[in-house]
This record gives sequence, C-alpha cells and structure tokens, in this order.
Amino acid sequence: MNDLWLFLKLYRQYQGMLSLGIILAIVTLLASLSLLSLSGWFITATAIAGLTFTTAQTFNFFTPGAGVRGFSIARTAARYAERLVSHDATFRLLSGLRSWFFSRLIPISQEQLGQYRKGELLDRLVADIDALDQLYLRLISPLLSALMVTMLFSLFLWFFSPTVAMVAFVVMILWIVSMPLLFYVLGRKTGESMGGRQARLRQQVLDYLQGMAEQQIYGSDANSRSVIAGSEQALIKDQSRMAALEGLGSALFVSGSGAAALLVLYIASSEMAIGVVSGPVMVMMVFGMLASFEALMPLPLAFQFLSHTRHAASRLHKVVSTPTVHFPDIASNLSVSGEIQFNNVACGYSHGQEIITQLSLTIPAGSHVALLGKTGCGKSTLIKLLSRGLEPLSGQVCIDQQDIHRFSEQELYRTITFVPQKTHVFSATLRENLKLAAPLATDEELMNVVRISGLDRLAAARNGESGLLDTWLGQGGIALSGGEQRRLAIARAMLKASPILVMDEPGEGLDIQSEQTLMDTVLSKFRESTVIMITHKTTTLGKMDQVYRMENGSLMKL
Amino acid sequence: MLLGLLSGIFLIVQASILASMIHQLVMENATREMLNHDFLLILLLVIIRGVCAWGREFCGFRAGASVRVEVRKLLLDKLRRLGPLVIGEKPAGSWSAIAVEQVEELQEFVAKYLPQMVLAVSIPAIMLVVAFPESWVVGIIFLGTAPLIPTFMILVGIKAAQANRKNFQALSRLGGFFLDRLQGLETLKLFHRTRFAEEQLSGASEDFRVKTMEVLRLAFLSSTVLEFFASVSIALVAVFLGMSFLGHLTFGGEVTLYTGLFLLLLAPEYYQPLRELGTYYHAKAKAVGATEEILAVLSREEPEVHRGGLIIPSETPLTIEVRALSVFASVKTEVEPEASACQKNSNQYLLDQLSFTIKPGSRVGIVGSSGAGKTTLINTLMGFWNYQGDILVAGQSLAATDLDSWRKEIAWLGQHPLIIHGTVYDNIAFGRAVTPDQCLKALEKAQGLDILERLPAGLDSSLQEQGGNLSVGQAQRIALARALVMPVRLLVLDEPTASLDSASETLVLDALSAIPRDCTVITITHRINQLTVMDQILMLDKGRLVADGSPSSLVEGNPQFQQFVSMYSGSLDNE
Repeated sequence: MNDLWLFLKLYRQYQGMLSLGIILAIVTLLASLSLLSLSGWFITATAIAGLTFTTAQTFNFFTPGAGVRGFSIARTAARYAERLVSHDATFRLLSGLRSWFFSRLIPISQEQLGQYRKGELLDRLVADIDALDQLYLRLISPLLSALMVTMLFSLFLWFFSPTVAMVAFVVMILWIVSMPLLFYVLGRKTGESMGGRQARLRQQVLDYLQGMAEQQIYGSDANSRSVIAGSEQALIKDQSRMAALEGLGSALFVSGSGAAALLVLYIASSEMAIGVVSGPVMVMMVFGMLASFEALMPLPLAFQFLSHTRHAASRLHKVVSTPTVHFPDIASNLSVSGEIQFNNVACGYSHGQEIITQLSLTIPAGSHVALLGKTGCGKSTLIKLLSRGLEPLSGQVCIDQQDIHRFSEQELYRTITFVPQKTHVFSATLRENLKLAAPLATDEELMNVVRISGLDRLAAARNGESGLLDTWLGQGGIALSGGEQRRLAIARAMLKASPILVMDEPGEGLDIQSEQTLMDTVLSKFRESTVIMITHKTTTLGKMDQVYRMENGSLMKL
Repeated sequence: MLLGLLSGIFLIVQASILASMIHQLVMENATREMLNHDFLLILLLVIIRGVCAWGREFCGFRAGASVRVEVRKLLLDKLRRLGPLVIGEKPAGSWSAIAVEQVEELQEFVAKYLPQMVLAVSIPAIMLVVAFPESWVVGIIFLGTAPLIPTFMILVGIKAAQANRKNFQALSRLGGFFLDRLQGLETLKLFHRTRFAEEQLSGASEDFRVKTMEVLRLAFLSSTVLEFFASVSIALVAVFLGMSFLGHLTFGGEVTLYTGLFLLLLAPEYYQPLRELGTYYHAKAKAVGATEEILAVLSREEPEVHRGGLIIPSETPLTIEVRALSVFASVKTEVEPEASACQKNSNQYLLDQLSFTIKPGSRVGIVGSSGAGKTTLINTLMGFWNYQGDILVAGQSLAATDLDSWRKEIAWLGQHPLIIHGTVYDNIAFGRAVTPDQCLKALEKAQGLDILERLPAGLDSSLQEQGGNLSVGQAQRIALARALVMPVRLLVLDEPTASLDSASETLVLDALSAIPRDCTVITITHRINQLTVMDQILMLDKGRLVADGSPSSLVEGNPQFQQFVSMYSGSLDNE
C-alpha cells in the first residue's frame, strides 16, 4: 500500500481538476437520483390528488414539473462536463507521471538501468505507468462519489423518516465497505497467479517461435504445442475464476439493488401505516434507493483492479529507488587539456568477478590511442568508467590529474565526446538526431557533417538531398543499417568539439575502405584532442600514436 | 445472451409487481401483511436475475475463451507452416505478442460487446411491446426516441470508434515516444541532453492532451445525446402521467398509479442496454486493432511445401549432390510493399545456379560476406525453403523425400544458442524420447559436463529465460549437446562460435573436432583459422558459387578466396 501513497502524492499537483471531476461525478449521480425520486413522488402525489376534483385543481404541479425537467437537463450536462474534466485530468496526470518517472530515471546509473533494458521489461514499465494513471478514473473517483452520494441520500431521507434513512445508510455503507474488501481479497490471489500464468504462456510461445527451426529439425513440434496448450488451459482456468468473480459482482449488484429497494419499501410501508411518511414519499424513497445504486456499481470492478495497480506501483517504486550516480554541482576547473589517467583501477559488475584488475594507464593530452582486444575482454568497461556508467571498485580515474568524481555532470560530458558501441537512433528527423549533439548548429553545419560522414548516401535511395535533414529515422521511419548507424554516431561526435573523444568499435559494420576514410576524417577533426579508440580490428591502427593490447583485464603496450 | 434477455424479461415482471404493490399500498390502503407473498416473489425474482447476470458473464467468458483458443491455434499453426525463416524476419517477441496479447484482446469483444449488441436492440423492443397496451402516449414517447437508437448505434459506433481509434493512436504514439526516449536515455546522458528530452516529453504529452481532448469533446457529445434522451423521456413520462392524473390532459385514456409507476420503472431500463454498449466500445476498438494484426499474419502466403513420400534409406551413404540450384526471394517480398518495390525485385535470386557435391563424412566450410546467401543455402538444404534445380540426398531427390525422414538425419546448431524455459534435461532432450544417461553422454561429447557442476540439481536444474544463469559459451555447449544427443549423419553449423569468448570457442571447437568421421559437417564461418581443417570450402558471393575446393588449392588458385582471407585476417578474433 505504501507504494501507492508515493504516487498518490503526485496527484496533489492536479488537485483542482481532480476534485472538480469528482464533484461533477457526484452532481451527475445526485441529479439522476433526484430525477427518478422526484418523478416517482410526482406521479404518486398527482395520482392521489387526482382522486377528487378539488385537490386536482389546487395541486401545484409547476414546481415539481420544473424540477423534473431541471434534473434531467442537469444530469445530462453534468455527465458531459464530468467526462471532459476527468479525462482532461487523466491526461494531465499521464503527462505528469511520465515526466516524473523520466526525471527520476536520469540519475540512475547505467549499470542499474541496464537490467531494465532487457527484453520487454521496459515495455512493462510503460504499461505500469499507464495503469497508474487509471487509478483516479477507476478507483478514487468512484469510491469518493459513492461515499458522498450515500451520505447525502441518507441525510435527505432523514428529514422524512430516520428509520428508513438509517436502513439506507447501513445498507449502502455495508456495500461500500464489504464489496471492495470481498473483491480485493477474492481477486488478489487469482489476479496474481493469472499474471504469472500469462507470463508463462508468453514465455512458452516465445520459446516455441524462437526455436521453430530446432522444433522442426528435432521433430518436437507436437510436444511443444501440447505444453503451450496446457499453459493456455491453466490461464483460462484462472481467467474463468476471475470472470466468475466479475459475474458475482454484477449478480450481487442486480440482486442487491433490487433487494435494497424492496427492503426500503417493506420498512417504509409500515411507517406509512403508522402515518410517519405519506404514500408519495414512500415511492420517492423506493425509487431513490434503486437509483442510488448506480453510484455503487463500479466498486467491485475497481477493487479487482486495485491489486493490479498495486503491483504496478511497487515495480515502479523499485525502479526509481535504485542507487543513483551523484555528480557535484560546482565546476572544479574550466579548461581541460585532455590527459587521462587510470590509477590502479579495478572494477567489475555487481554480480560476478572482476573484469579489470589493477589497471594503470596514462594517456597524454592530445595523443591518439587504440585499445585492441578480442570480443569480451573488458575494453568497453573502460569506457563505462570514463562515462561514470560504472564505478571502480578501487583506484581512480583522472582527467588532468582531477578525479572524475569531482567533475560536474555538464562538465564531464562537455569534456568527453562518446561514440558508444550501440547507437540509439531516436524516432525523430535526422536533424533532431544530429542536433542532439549540438543544439545550436545551423542546417548548413549539419549538412556539412552529413556529407563528410557519408550519411548523404541515405539520400540516394530517397528524395534527393534537399529534404534529407527532415528524413524521419527510427521507429516509423527509415531503419538505418549497422554501418549507417555508425556514421550517425560519428556525425554526432563531429558536431561536438571536445578535448577528449572516446570511440567504441567505430568501424563495425563498415567495409574496410569506408572505415578508413571515416577514421581519417574523424581523426583530423579531433587532431588536437585526446582520442581513445577501442577496436578488435587491426585495420586502422596505423594512424594511432600508441596501441595497447588488452587481455584478461590488463594492458600491454605494442 | 439468452440469459441477458431472460433477465430483461424478469426485470419487466419485477417492475410490474413492484408497481402493483405500491399501487395497492397507496391507493387501496392494503396493509403490508397482505402483500407478504408479493415481497417474497420479488425477492425471488431479484435473486433469479442475479443468477442470470452471473450466468451471462460466465457464458460470455466461455465463448470468448473458446474463440481465443481457436484463434491462437490457427495462428501458431500458421506460423509453424510459415517456418523459421519468416519468423526470423521480425524479433520473435513481436510474433508472440500477436499470438498471446493480441489474441487476449478478442476476449472482451466476444464475451461482452457482441451479446450486448443484441440486447441493446431486443430489450427495448420487448419493453415497447409491454408499454403500448398500458399507455399509448408513453409508448409513443419511447418509440419516438426508438428510431434514434439504431441511428445512435451507427452514429456512436462510427464516431466513437473513430474517436477511440484516434485516442488509442495518440496514446500509443505517446507511449512509443516515451519508450524511445527511455531506450535512448544513455545517449541523451552522454550528450547532456536529458533536461531537454524531459521538456520535449512533457511538451509532447501536453500536445497530445490538447489534440485528444478536441476529439473526445466530439465523441462524448454523441453519448451525451443518448443520455439526454434517456433523461428527457423519464421527465416527459413523469410530467405526462402527473398531468393525466390531475385531469389536465385528457387524451391517452385512463391511467392508474400502477401503470404510471410501472412505466416510470421501465423508462431508465429502456436505455440502459444501449448505455452499457457504449462502455464496451473500447473493447471493440481494441479487438479491431488486434484482428488487423492477426489477419495480417493469417493471410501471409505460405512457402510451397515440397513434400514427397520417400524415406531416406539408412544404408545408402549420405552424399549431397546439388545441381543448378536456384532460390528466389519471392516469399519475403510481401512484408513491406514499399521496400520490396525499390530494393528487391519480386524474383530476385538469393541463390543462383549452384552446383556442387558433398561427400559423406567430409568437413565442409561455407564462407562469403554477409548477404552472400550462406544461410539461405543451408536453410534450403534443411528443407525450409522452396527451390529450383535439383538436390539429391543419398541419391534421391529432396523434393520427393519426406521432410521428417530427412530431418531425422540432421542436427543443427545456430549462431545464438536457443535456451528454452525448463531444465537442462528439457533443453537437451527437446521433446524427444531420450534417457538422462544419453543426455549426460551428449553433454560430455559437447565438453559441457563442467556446466552441471555449477548448477544445483544437475540435469534437473532449471535454466532461466534465455539462459540468464548461463554464459553464452555454456548455453552454446548445451545447444551442441542437443544436436549430438541423437546420432545423425549430417551436422549443420551456422557460425557456431561467432558470439563466444576464446575459452568457450576452444571448448566448442574441440567438441566439434571429435565428431565421428561418418557424419558430414557443414559449417558457415567467418573465421579463417577454422577453415584450414576443412576438406572442402564453398565460397558464395551474391548468391553465386565463386569457389569450390580444398583450402590449400583455393589459397593458391582463387583470387576471390585470397581477397576474402586478407580481408578477414585483420580481425583479432581470428587469432
């Protein structure tokens, strides 16, 4: 439950809208209730009055008639306004929640974040956030409205008959308390195992599809399919339990509203017999009771949904409470010449053994260095140390004799330009993808970089050079090939002049010729800067001042 | 659905009894005691309606569940026939999302929306039939709004579906935007652009909110009109009846309090089914989206299966003779019509007139740059792809051979080891009747016995998703054990060491070199050092066979092979 509170606090920002939504929901329900009750009263009263001519003539039908019309209009208008306001509030919440979550993710270290990047975990996080913004519409608003309507309706009945009011109040409150509790308790266990079973089915289908080649070669197709069918049946069994529960909810609602109205009639009729209430008032009570159940209808479903939301909240909470990387706020020194030092650095990932042991290396300012090594020897780990994606277990990493822990975030990333091994192509235009590195760059500068990095070849297959910067990349646009992604990453780097350039496998996916041309361009652009290039290929080593070979976490000068 | 209808009829009876009770109590001064049996009757009706509601929910669920099971079976069958090559076009996750999640989306539509459609028409119709004899004026009030019901079903149906679709699109686009930025968070950090992305994100959300609200304003209007008619008809009924009782209105005949209350009780229920239908629109919108994706899979063209009935004779040596083998890319072209139009002609060759012979027991290396057709060649040999020309295995045409019988002779190991959810035993046996002892022997042959020492329960230890508790090297050795557990006469390896570190690579290569000489081994590889042990090398370039011979003869006499060797020897991974 604590996890939910954390998110409820975020709701405070939108208090005004949210309260307005709830008030409108209550107004709608009350108008609807009043419409039916008043109509019931009106018909009965006129029927009695119509028995004799005089009472029929003197009966004031204007006021109730106007009331009936008024309530019918009010109900319509309030419902419309309520839907608009509550949806608007939900959208605001959604945007607020996402921004909040994103800002909380930023300082989390790369290593911690890495575990969420795998597979569909990230998708699930996004779905979890969606679940949370439904909290208001599905849970809070119905619950508060139900409570308010119960209070007001009972209060209203109190003026006519305290006994009936008490009965109505007790019935409704019992409903409000017991239904959520019942459905929360009943729904929770099935809900949880349903989640697990759905995950298992997904896993097995995934296994089946991924292993289709093996399946067919080893002739185990029927076997896998029967396993999948078994999981499906298990899931359906859980779901059918859930559906039965849902059915129970609507059954209880149908029976409950009818029985409650009947109970009110039963008691009110005896009150009428002793003259406490009149006939029309009794009818009004019965109709009111029937109508007021409209307010209680969404409750069972809302609480079945609660356990789902709670899990979403606790997963998100776990993510945002992972350790973060701290950067000092104040800049330590301003101009950096670019000398890099690793002093007895050892590091490894939180699970498993050390990847780098006692590594010491000094790279003088302005020199170009290559780190050579086989796949998986820990080269990329060195980059993570420099970007503070990974903290050393011991030793320090210094730039210009300063521990990089003393650099502010802005300063560090201004000092070092990274070409990471994997390029993320944002779902945006080429311009936006490049401007990431240089927000102030003009189109001319961008085109220049596009040309020298060879990205203009993208245009060959498309509509000429003119619209090139507006070409949409990534999801929903052109998918870049591995080589094109490298070019994009290098183009980004070339837009951002800095004293240090670090590249991880910059030539991957490029043929030897293009790789060499591209490297020449980059190295001449960063002539004055310190350059570290990590590679497993020997093709471009000739241009480097110094080459180190990395093996089993230690370095050898070549 | 029938239960829903029944429930509707009971509701009318219940309203009638309730109205008559009140009538008797108020107008005829009946005492409560006189009506006891009526109280009990209503109580019974109320309970029966509850049971109906429950049964309706449950029957709906069963219908939805059986539809899902059926559709999922269709999908999986289709995917099986499409085969691993088509599945490989997209990440397996996106296929499984269709087969699992999208199929689930059909549930609400079948279980709730469809029956509600019928109820939304039939219940008001029954009520009209009941209402007219009681008071034709009220009947007309009901009927006057009734033609609006089909109109609204169409109007609300189209409008709300449109609005809903836009709403969903906007939401999913926003979701995609958010996901994209989350995935690129590291890049944003390295360029110190996180604050900017944050602003962009809230800007985009705000933008979506404003646009979506415009759409919703319209969408809600249509349901509001329905609400309006429901409210107004209650008001009209009440006012008309009141006026009649008072004698101000004389048309419409005599009405009693019973009639009045009965009709008033029916009025809100008259519109209720239609209003409920409105709440299931999202189910419909989702189902429509899901159906589109499901149909896209189901309507895909299947590769023609060449399935003969011949059985591979076990005593004939397994010579593979390939004559003028050509393979076309036609199966793949329909994925993206645009891309295929400019990139692939529908009849482009993947393999062009290949001819070669592989002797039983030989070690064959297939080399070539990426896209040369190496994987296509082995997929064709394994019977996953349709071809032209001739492939003769053990002297008989592959096209005339029963695929299952052919595949019994083959084992296969890919670049990325497949680890399924289950125990080590499950992963090695892979659904075949294999004893644990045989598994252990296979694991020993695959140099993988040390893996068991680290696992808590030996062969019965469960492996995590995608081999989470295994290294890639260990996973590959388990996959190798899977390939070796049954004796085969052809082993096909697709870059078996491409994703391995040097230590695991050595282990895997050792295991492969110990494979008995009566088994043919075909290996796709990039690593020059692995080529020297081969008896025969096939080099492909753009679908054509450009070199065929022993490594030593090719190094001396084939310029294309020489160039290949010089290009790849620059990589440290080859040492």
